[in-house]
Amino acid sequence: MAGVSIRSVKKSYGEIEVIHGIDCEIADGEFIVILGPSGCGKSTLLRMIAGLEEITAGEIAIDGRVVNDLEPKDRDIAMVFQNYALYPHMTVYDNMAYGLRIRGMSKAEIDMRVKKAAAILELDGLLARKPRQLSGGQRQRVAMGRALVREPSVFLFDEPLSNLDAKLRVQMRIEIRRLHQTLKTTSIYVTHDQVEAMTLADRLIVMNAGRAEQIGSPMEVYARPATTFVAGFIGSPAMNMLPGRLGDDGTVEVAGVRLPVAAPVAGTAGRPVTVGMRPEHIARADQGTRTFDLHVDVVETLGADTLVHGRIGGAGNELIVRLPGSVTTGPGDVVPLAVAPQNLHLFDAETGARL
Amino acid sequence: MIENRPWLTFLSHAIVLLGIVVVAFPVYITFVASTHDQVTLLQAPIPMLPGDHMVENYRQVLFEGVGAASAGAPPVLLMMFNSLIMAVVIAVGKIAISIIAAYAIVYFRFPLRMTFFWMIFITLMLPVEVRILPTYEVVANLGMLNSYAGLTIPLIASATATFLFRQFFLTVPDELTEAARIDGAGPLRFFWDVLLPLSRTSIAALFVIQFIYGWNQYLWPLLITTDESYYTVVMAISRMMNVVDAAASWNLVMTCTLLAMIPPVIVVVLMQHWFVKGLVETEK
Amino acid sequence: MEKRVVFKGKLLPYLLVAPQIAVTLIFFIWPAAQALKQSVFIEGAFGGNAQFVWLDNFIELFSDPGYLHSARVTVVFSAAVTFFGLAIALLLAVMADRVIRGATVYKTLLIWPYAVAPAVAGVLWGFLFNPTVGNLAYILNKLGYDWNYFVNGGQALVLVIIAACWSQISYNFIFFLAGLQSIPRSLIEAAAIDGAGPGRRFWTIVFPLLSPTTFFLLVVNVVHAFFQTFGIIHAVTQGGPANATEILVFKVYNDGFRGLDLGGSAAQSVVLMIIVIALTVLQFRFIERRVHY
Repeated sequence: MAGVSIRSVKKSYGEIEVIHGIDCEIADGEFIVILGPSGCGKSTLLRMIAGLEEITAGEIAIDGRVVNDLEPKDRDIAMVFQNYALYPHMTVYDNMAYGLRIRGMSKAEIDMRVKKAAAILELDGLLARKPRQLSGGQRQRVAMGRALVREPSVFLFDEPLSNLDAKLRVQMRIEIRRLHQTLKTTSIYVTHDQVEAMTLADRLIVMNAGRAEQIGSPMEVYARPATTFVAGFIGSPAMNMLPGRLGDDGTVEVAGVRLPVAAPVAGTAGRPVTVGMRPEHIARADQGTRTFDLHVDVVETLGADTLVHGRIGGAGNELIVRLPGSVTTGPGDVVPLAVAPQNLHLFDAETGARL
Repeated sequence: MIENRPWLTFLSHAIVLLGIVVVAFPVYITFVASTHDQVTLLQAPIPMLPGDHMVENYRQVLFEGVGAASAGAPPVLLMMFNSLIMAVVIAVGKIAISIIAAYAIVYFRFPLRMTFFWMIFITLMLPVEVRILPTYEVVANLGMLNSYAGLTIPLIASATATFLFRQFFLTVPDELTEAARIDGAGPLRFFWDVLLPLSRTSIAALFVIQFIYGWNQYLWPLLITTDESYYTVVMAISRMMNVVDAAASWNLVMTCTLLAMIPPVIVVVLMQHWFVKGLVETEK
Repeated sequence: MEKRVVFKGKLLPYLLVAPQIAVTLIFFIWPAAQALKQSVFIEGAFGGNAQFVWLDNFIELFSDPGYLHSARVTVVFSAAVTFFGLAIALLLAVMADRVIRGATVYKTLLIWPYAVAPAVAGVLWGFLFNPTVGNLAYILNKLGYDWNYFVNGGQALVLVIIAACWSQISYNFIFFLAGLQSIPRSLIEAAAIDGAGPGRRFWTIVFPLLSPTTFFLLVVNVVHAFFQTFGIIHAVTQGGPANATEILVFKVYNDGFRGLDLGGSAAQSVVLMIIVIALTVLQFRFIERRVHY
């Protein structure tokens, strides 16, 4: 087991730089999830750690040893691929044993390890089958098993669950979490699915356009998003972002309404800001406690919750609110709402950075 | 069938059956001819039903040769052996050198890579028939006339096979290669353990096609063999054909003809599935 | 199209392409270059110095009535073989595609001639039409038609055309059948619902959709007729009678090996090379199955 250090890592393809310098210290045994939209460079970063892509600048160290020039096989890592990449002509057993055989491990040792991994992943009965005779979920397990038998210092996962259906994805997610709790192997996991990211990660790296926008625990990232991008990317439905202006008395003005801010920010009055409010942090209020009114356009009933889409103030300010399922309302209604000062997020209007 | 028109279905069957009969007819007559004695075949019309000299005709042809009509050809068994060597060596040779060349071109980046690719491509445009004399000279200068090497090596370059493998390799997912790298497999190990087993179907299909190509070579053995012990059966038959009227042993010549077509036909029929697939895919 | 993932290696790729490239250089490119060179030289008598003569060999070639005759024979022969070979194979493929019961058996019974060498196909048909012993020749003569391909050039040409068609039908059949089976069923059904009968459906839907296959086969069949029928001619007619079946490929062989006219034969080789190159380019340009590199 080992920690991983990523130091000012950059990647260019010819003239085009796709990763602009990422720093992250990953502790031994930590479960790190790299989250971001497609094309943000998250898979490239993972593949650089694996040794499948060359590192243009900076360095990556595994267990204190710089691995920039090492072949993947010498980095003491194992990887689970998105499409599993199982060898179609080999049995489940051989798929798992192949890497061990190349390393010249003894037959008995190989057999022991494969059997052990198969038992953990409940693949016992399938060892003689070929990949094409397996279901999607079973193939996924074999791909995990292949990584497991190697007993590496670091596990790398490249969107391993994205080819599964929704139900299986939830199941495998829990299984991966459980596995990590047992083995405590350092793991780096790439996904574009925020639920997977939130549930699996000890810490998240949220990436956008080749940069790490924020690195932190899931709760940190949720509660104090560092940028508007992170704020919009984490949480569903996405955080409401409204243009506003700082007032002179620790307030902020949004859609013609003046709202108190929990921790007043320095800055001149009238400075333009972006104000973020999570739909689940806006509550229905009485006439007395209300801070603004929502003119309802569309109502989506989800059962436990009701999503209300509408406008506040002028025509331009659209807002989504998550209300309890018991609330009944319909298009054309006006609903009084309130938001607590500590639930307002303020971002610089130009840079998008948190204030 | 979209609509139910019995007469149309009947017509379809009838036309296909007629086609089959017409296609098979000359072979049937050849078979009939190979079962009669020499005298029966001196004058048309020859019988439409098999005679009773089959065993002795085949025995004589296989082990002794055709006699006066043989134009110096040795027993057919020896010629069939030569044909077999030629077919197998060409098929295996083509597959072997094409698959490794395709592997290099697809899985490596190196200077002159595209030059090599186009050189291989150009061979498509240079069938033996258009460079008969100079190729003969090259083979003669290398001392390869009247040898198995001369019969086979000049024919084992293959653009078609190289393209087929290249096409196939391009469909093999990159992740498989990456998984193998992480498992610690180098280029040769990956080729042997992963790529080769995955190529089995393509190899089988190409084997059928190239086996037939090799067995059926005509002009090439005609050019470079003067020693009868290197004659191949296909090329020797036509030599017999050209003297048969004088010697009038049609029964034996037709026995040879039938023997010459049996091995490749068996290969095609038995490996039909792979062969059809390979043929249609080779031309992509 | 290129692989994203490649291996490193300096020497290995060269070792891997070496055998293929060696054979190609020694037995394909070098001889072809020789043919090109010889085509612009005249070999001195008694092996004296060769003399550079520009395009004289070609000019001589194209003013030789024998060569022009051979070119005409080749055109007639190739056109006939291609047309009949394609038409018959298409008919059989369409009919075989229609029937469901027995389709696999029919397929097997129609593809085996692919395995028969053209020369052997020539012998089969030559035997049937042999004026002395051939059954078909016998029937023709009984019907009052004077059949003897040893003396009648037109008859000899017909005979080699039949043999060449026969040996090419399987190949065409396989491709037509594959082409027909790849036409989506729903298209045919849609046309049937629109009220098109079987014949109309064939000409308005099936045949146009089959045109890439047909075009591909057209080129392949012309190449086949030009180059791979040498065995048929050599085995059955030896180019005779009176050069009536002397196609270009046979003439190259005959002039080169029997006539030993080095420059003239080389010029003929070059002309043939240009034809193959043109046909290959045609095949790769106008068919979607072009080479990606």
